[in-house]
Order: sequence, then structure tokens, then C-alpha cells
Amino acid sequence: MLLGSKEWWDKAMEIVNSDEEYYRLAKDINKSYTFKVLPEPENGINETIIMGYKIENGKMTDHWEDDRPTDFVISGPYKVWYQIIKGKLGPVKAMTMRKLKVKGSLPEMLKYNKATLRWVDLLRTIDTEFHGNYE
Amino acid sequence: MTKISGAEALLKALLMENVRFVFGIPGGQWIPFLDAIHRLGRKEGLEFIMTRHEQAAAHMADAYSRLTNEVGVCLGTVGPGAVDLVPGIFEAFSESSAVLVLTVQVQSWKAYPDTGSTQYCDHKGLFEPITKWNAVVSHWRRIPELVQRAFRTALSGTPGPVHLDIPVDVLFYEGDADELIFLPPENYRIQEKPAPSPKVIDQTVEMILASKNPLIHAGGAVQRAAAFQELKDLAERLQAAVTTTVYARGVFPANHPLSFIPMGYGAISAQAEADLVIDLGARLCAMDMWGREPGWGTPEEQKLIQVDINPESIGLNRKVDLAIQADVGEFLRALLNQLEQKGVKRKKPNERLEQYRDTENAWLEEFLEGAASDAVPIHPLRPVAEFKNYFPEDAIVVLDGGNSQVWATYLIRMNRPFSFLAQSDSGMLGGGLPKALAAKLTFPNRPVYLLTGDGAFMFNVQELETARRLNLPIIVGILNDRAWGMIKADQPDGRYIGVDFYDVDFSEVARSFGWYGERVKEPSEIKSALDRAAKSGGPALLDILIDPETNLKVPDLETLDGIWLDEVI
Repeated sequence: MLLGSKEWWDKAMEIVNSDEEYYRLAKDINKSYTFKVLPEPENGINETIIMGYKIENGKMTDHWEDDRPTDFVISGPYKVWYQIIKGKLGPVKAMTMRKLKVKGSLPEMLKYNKATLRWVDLLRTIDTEFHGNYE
Repeated sequence: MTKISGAEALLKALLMENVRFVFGIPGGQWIPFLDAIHRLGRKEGLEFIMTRHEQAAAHMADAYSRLTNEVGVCLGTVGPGAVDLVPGIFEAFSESSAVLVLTVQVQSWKAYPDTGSTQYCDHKGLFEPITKWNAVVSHWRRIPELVQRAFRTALSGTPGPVHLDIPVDVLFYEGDADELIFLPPENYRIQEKPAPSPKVIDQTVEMILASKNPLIHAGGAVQRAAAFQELKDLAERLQAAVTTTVYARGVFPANHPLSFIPMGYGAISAQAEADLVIDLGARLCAMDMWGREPGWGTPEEQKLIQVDINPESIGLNRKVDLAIQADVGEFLRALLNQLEQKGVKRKKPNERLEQYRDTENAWLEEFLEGAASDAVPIHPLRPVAEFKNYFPEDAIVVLDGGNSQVWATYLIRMNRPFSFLAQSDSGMLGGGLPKALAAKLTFPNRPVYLLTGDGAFMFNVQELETARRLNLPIIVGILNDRAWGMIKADQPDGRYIGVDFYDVDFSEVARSFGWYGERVKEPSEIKSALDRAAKSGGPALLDILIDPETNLKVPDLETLDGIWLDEVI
């Protein structure tokens, strides 16, 4: 499943919404998120890929592929997202190292840090295909 | 005419500075100085404290300085003895600790450059990069002057170690006592510390008035200025969040409602969102996440007032909006006076502080779960919690480096100044035991405990003998995972290399040195083991077998990695 495709997001929702551990950590979360995957023409990624989703009371309730106002906007080069999904880079480390830029309330992002880590762990279980030279 | 030797002159110069301890290992060239301490120094209250390795002597001098704001003194003999001091002096340099290093040199006519003397070493060159200043005492006549200069330099501006290399003939030389002038400190170093100008205080007040969410970030300079009440007064007057560097823990009570745990998620939140940061002597280095986003606000959105006694520390890592060269205590007093005159006093903190506290509490949950864990093998946080709860608030807490420090640093809260010894900028391992011994020597009536990993502990294990010989009843807790836990945690995909140890029973090691020793395998045993350790009346060690797997999952190691490996991976 191609990263960010409808099929990929549907799978993500299925996995996340059936995970009791994620629900335990995220049951108070009511936030929306935008991921901006920045282009890397040298690796065949020519356009910004935008993905958005919503968490309501610990469940993923929606996802989209356009640029909407959300509580958080997290952006970074394709390579960074690739490394995170492949488990080679932790999301917190990526943010600390400013490989990912975050717009939104840092205190709230940090408050739900463990939920974020679990969420990323779950995404890593998806059989993900990547764009461009990352295939 | 009364004669005085170089060794006696050195002793007299140290006594003029009320030096209480000289830490080190004797060597043949130091014999006249040690003899002078025996004959003259002891009755004046100066003791020679023999260690079993010079590194430990340097750590002890460092600890003494940090706990007293005075100069700690250590010595090493020519060549190997001097070289062995280096690791401890490196830490003192990194942590801005006022230490006087004394080394003895071969005869002046055989040194600089070398002519083939046994043990010769270029001590001056050796210590130059890790001291603020150093010199060779080329003549007996210069001893008082250079000791005075060493103390002045060590304590001026940002403190740091200084070094004197004394050829052995200078120590042995005897001359007329009248030819040497020994001055009291007020005759050779400033007594009034630099104060800020009224102009920068006015500018500070204006920036405070324009701020809706100010934050005070306190560094070790607050401890060196002993400006604890002033810091508290300012925080309460502004209702500002207070964070500290890791080094400066205790300068602001951790149980104060405006306080946030250093490097914790509450502190990072407050630091990221403040619209004004009043930086009291912190250089905003690695352990402060370099003063940049995401751990701090952007320079466009967050004003920075940096106060530092050393102008070279200003703007080191981040744009400064108002740079103030001043002693932090003088700055705080002048600012408080001006705020009082202008009637600036806030009634309540910015409402965002509730969110920061909420974030901090959520982040702490994991620590509290670990602290209460009954798991076997023992969760690393359980002994941290047991030690924290066992000792009274006036205890001096010593942490060594590595994972044991990460576990302990967030859970142990410091409410008092001069109560916490750990390394931050140096990232040193092995100074814990010597520092704990120095703390007990300096404050015999205060409980002292050390939490260390087994890796760090082995660097200076020989000081178990020092503790027994001097009868220093400290309690050591070793969080024993039989590995270099922090490094092991970072090695990829279980491909461990160079990180695993043989299972040493440190309780047996301790007992062989005359300590009380006990190996602890169950969490429920820790409290009673602490009781037995305390009742032993002497130095005591608990070798606590922690879960090596859990020890690979230190919270926030990823964050630290992100700082240390910035722009590398």
C-alpha cells in the first residue's frame, strides 16, 4: 500500500482503532493533524504530499488528502518520513533534531507523546510502499 | 632572621584563603609540603586527604567547590600523578568549578624543556586546555603572588580550575620570611561583584511589562551568587515559570508551584511558549537544547535577556535581545528594587502554566509507574524512589553519569541549594563516589547518598578504601545492569559490542573494603536494606540488580540522542 494513499489510510484507521493500548493512551485526544511530506526531486518526489487525519476520543475518525486547517502541522522531507515509517528514526528524535517541523501547541504534543509513539509503532506494521526512489 | 621554605610558603598562602582540605596522593617531591601540613597546617584546620587515585582527588576538590562556592584544592606529583588528575579537572572545567590544581615538577634547571628526568611531563601544556589559567612557579619568591593570582582567577567571572606547577627546588628552597608578603583576600581580589547599569535594568523592566508569559531560566550562576531568595522573590513577583539547568537543580525549590523539572516536558513546554526569557547565567548549551526550537521559542517570537558575569558567554548559541554583564545576584537585587519602585507585581501566572503542569504530570506518569513497580528483576526507578523517600530533605544527592542519572534526575526533586552533585556539560562517568566522599567531609552532619550505575562506579572503585579509612558514612546505591546501559540501548538491532560485563557482586567488593554491603534482588528488600545500611554506622553499599532490559528503555533517551547527534544522523 502506497504511503498516504486512501488504501493506506484505511488500513491505518483499522489498525489504530482496534488497538487497546493506543486507545488507553489517546482516549482524551481530540485533535486534527496535517502531515506535509516535502518534495525531493533528486529522489523522484516532485510535489508536496499532504495527508490529514483526525483523532476523536482516541479513535481515528477521518482522513483526507488536501490542505485544511488543523491543530497540528508537521512537515519534513520525504526521507525523514521514510525513516520514521521504516523504524530507523524515532518521531521524537526527528522533532528534537528539527528534521520535522511542528506547528501547533508543543505542550499538547508533548502531553500525548506516548500516544504518538504508539501510533507510529502501529503505522510501522503496515506493508508500506514508498514513492520515487524509495520504492 | 626567620626562614621559610617554599613548601611552608605554599601552605601559608593556602591558609590565608582558609583552605580546609588538600586532596591528593603524596609523592617524593611533595614531601616538604606534606610535612609542612603535618607540622603547621593541621593545627590551623587544614587536612591532607589522601585518595587512592588522583582522578578522585580532582573530583573531590570539584565537589568541595560546588558545595561551598570556595576553591577546592588538589595535588598530584610529577608525571603520572599529575596526568592522573586530568579526568577530574576536565569535569571541573566543563562544569565551571573553582579548583586549584597543584603539581610538583622536577628541578627547574631540568624542566621546560626536558633533559631526561624520570617522570618528567610538560604539566603546563597538559593542563592548559582544561584550566582557566596556569603558570610555572619559577621562584620561591613568587609563591604568595601566584597563589593569590590563582585564587583570584579561579573565582573571578565564571569560576574554573587553575593550575600551578612548582619545581621541586622551589618547594625545598628556604629564604627569609620577611621577603614574602602574604595578603588577605580583600587585598588582591574584588569583594563587590559587578552590578548592572540602571539603563539595562530599566530596559529589563520595559521588556517585562511588555511580556505576557515570562520565564526565568536559572543556571549555576545563581548558586555561585547564592541568590536563592532573590530568584524566588522575582519569580513570585512576576508569577513567572522557573526552569533551571540540570547543574543548577536546587537553586529554586522544586516543590514551588512555579517550578518545572529541568529538561522535563513541562519545562520544555514553558520554554517553548514563553514570550520573554530571563536567562540567569545559563549559556544555553547542549543540555539546554541549544536554546533553539522546538525546545525554545523562535527568536522572532521569544525575547531573550541574558545575564552573565562573563561577556564571552553572551549570545553563544542564540540571538540575545538584551545582554547584561553582571553578577546574577546583583542583577536580581537591582531588578527587584526597580520593580518594587514601579509597582510591578503580578497576581497570578499566565494561564498556560496549567497546561505545562498538565503536560509535566502526564510525562511523569511513566516515572511514577516505574517507581512503584514490584517487578523482579527490579525496575531501575524503584530504587531511585526508595532512596529519595528514605532520606531527609537536607540530604546531599550525588548522581553519577549514564542511564542511572537519567532515571534518577527526573524523579528526585531538589528543594534546597548546595544539595545536588552531578555532571552535565562534561558527561563524565566515575566522579560519583569521590564527590559523595567530599560532600560528607564538607558537611559531616548531613546525610549523603550516591546513585550510580555499575559501569560508572568501577572508574573509581578504589575510593572505597578512602571512605573506610576516613570513616565517611555515606550510602551508595548501585543500579547494576551488568552493562554500559546507555550505549547498549543505542546499539542497532541487538548487535551489541563492547557493552556487557561479568557479573561482579559489589556487595562483596564493598565488604572486603570494610564497608557494609548487601546485594538486593527484590524491590521489597530495598527499604529494609537501607535501614541496615544506615544502622551499620559506616559507609554502606547496596548492589541492586536492576532489570537490564528495562534499563535499555530510558525515557527520553531519544531526546538526548537528538541533541547529541544533531545533524549527524
